[in-house]
Amino acid sequence: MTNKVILLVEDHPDDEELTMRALKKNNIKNEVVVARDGVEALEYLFGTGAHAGRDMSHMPQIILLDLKLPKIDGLEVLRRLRADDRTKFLPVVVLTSSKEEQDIVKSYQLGANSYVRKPVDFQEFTQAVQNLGLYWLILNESAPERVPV
Amino acid sequence: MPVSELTLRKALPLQVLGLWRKFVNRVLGGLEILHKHTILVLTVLFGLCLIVIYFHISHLKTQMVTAMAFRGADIYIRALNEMRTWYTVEVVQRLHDQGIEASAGYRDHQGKIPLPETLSRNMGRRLVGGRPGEQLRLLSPYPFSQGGDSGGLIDAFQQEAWEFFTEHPDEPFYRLEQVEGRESLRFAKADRMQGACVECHNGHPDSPKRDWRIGQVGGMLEVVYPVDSLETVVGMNWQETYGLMGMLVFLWMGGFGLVVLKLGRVASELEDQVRERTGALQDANKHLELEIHERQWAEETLRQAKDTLEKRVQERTGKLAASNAELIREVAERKRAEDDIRKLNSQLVQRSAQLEASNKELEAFSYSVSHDLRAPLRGIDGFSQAVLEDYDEKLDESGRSYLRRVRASSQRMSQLIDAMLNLARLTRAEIHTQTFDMSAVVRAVLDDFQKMEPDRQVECLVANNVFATADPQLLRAVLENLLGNAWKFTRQQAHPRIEFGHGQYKGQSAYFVTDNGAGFDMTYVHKLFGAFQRLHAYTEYPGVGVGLATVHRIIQRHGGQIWAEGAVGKGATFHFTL
Repeated sequence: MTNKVILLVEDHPDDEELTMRALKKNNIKNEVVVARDGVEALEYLFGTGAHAGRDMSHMPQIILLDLKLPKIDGLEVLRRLRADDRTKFLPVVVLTSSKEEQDIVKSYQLGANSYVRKPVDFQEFTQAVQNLGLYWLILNESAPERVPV
Repeated sequence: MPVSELTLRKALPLQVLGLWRKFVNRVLGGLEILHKHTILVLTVLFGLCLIVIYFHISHLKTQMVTAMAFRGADIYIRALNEMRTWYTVEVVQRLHDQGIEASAGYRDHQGKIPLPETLSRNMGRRLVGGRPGEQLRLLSPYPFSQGGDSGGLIDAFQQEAWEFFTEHPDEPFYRLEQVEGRESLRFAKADRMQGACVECHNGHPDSPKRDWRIGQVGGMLEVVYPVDSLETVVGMNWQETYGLMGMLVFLWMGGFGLVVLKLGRVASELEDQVRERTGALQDANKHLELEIHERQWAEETLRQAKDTLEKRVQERTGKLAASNAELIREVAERKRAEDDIRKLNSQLVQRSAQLEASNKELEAFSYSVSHDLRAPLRGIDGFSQAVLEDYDEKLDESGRSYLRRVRASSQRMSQLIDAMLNLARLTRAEIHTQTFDMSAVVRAVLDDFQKMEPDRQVECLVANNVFATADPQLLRAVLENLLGNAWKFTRQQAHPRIEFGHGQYKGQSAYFVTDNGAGFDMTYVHKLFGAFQRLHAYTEYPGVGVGLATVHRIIQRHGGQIWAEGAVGKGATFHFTL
């Protein structure tokens, strides 16, 4: 289970901290890679920039994607990784503060697998993270690493 | 000058004129009669002609008869004279030379011959013998020889003739007279003494007168010749002539009659035609009269219409002038109003742009609020919880309580933010109307409430088949809010009751949601639909105070109205129209 990486795309340190705490509280010990903006997230996913030379055979088991991000926002990140063969089947859970209709609709249009609103109540938040971990890291069967082109 | 004279002077020419006129009128009347009775006049004229011809023929006949008689008598006398002369010269004188004398009494004496005179008389008698009425005699006022008939002039004719012959011895004397009841010609000629006669008469012993001279009128020969016998002879021819004439007349009359008949027929045909034509003409005349009458009526009507029209035109013209002035004023006003409108429009466009901008801003703001305002709250709540969990032993009860209140506040803030965002979203959302069953929606909403609180006993009266034409999702939000309030505010009621239906209120059909819950004070009814307005304590009936504001906004956006009635402790009723 440890080899299954979680990519957390989150710019706010408080949310990052709270998410990490919720994961820890739910005993999810997977490696968590944190990208603090859209550019960083894409560099990691495509092995460029700061992540150049990364082992590209390792792709995240789940991407927790915030929408409101500096430089490149979450929806654009989603669009680009769905446009690339290497990343187009990666499970993406949009995890964000808003439940604006436009955000939800656009996310699904661009191929998000799930949309979860971060609750203000931390206990509810912890519960949500637990459910996500259970589902995406254990129950869900991912697409093969190497996708035949 | 006296008046009477004047009058007379004037009257006289007038009288003459009157008479002249009368005459002219009569002539004209006669002409008119002539013209009118052509056939009668023609017949009369023809008759007159016949009469004239008849009289002329009668006259001719008389003349012819007279001439014939005249001629006959003349022949008689000449023949007698010639014969006596011849006898005297050739017989008497020769025999006288031989001693044979002529004597009146020759029958009684041998060797005597009759006197020429006797011969004349006897011959005369013989010539007319067997012819009644005819006489031929020798007359003289002198005495005849012895033994002869006693002479003498016995009647007026003979005496007049004798007197005539003394004057005109060579001319005959004659006239027509009634003799023995018969119309007869009496013709007499003087008998003049010739040489042989004088000799004998003067020398003869029987001669009673011996002073005869040659050429002297010794007597006269008279012939009485009845003309009626001649007339009978001539009359035979005349009768034929008259018969012919009669036939001619008859034929003429026949022809004339035929012509008249023909003419009459033609005339009657003509009359018929004339009558027909007259009838047609009368009809046409009547028609024309009618037409004329109609025309007159139409003209009159037209004239009246024209007058009326003119009057109306004048009125209209007046009105038009007035309305024109009015129009000019109005046009000016309109222009001003248009200018105003244009100004307002440009302002509106500006405002619209502003509104759009502000709407976008609001949207951006909402988006921002949605994302950014909640994140700190999550931090406050999350880290408070973290402190409570990680540093529990270092906190006293008071510290723990504060941290719990921090968390509660942040959660309430989160609810407020959500309610605000919801309200903002409803303000912007597009409306998609359709007709749907509101009753079903009400039942579904109440079912949801019941499922959330299965232990509550609420009497729900929902009218069937209440339909609405609106945005179903927005109307569901309205019903969720109204029914949610009713559900919430009947919580402390022993027998809670919620009712939904449709009815007439103040002349308009409206939907209603009513309950027998806490109700409200009508003094604050104006605050009821304001955002974040609450009429109850949060602790008593929790809520953020945007529910009715949301309802109000949705109803407004559907063009409807909403109003509330209620009293504290006696429930509330919400009416709304769409």
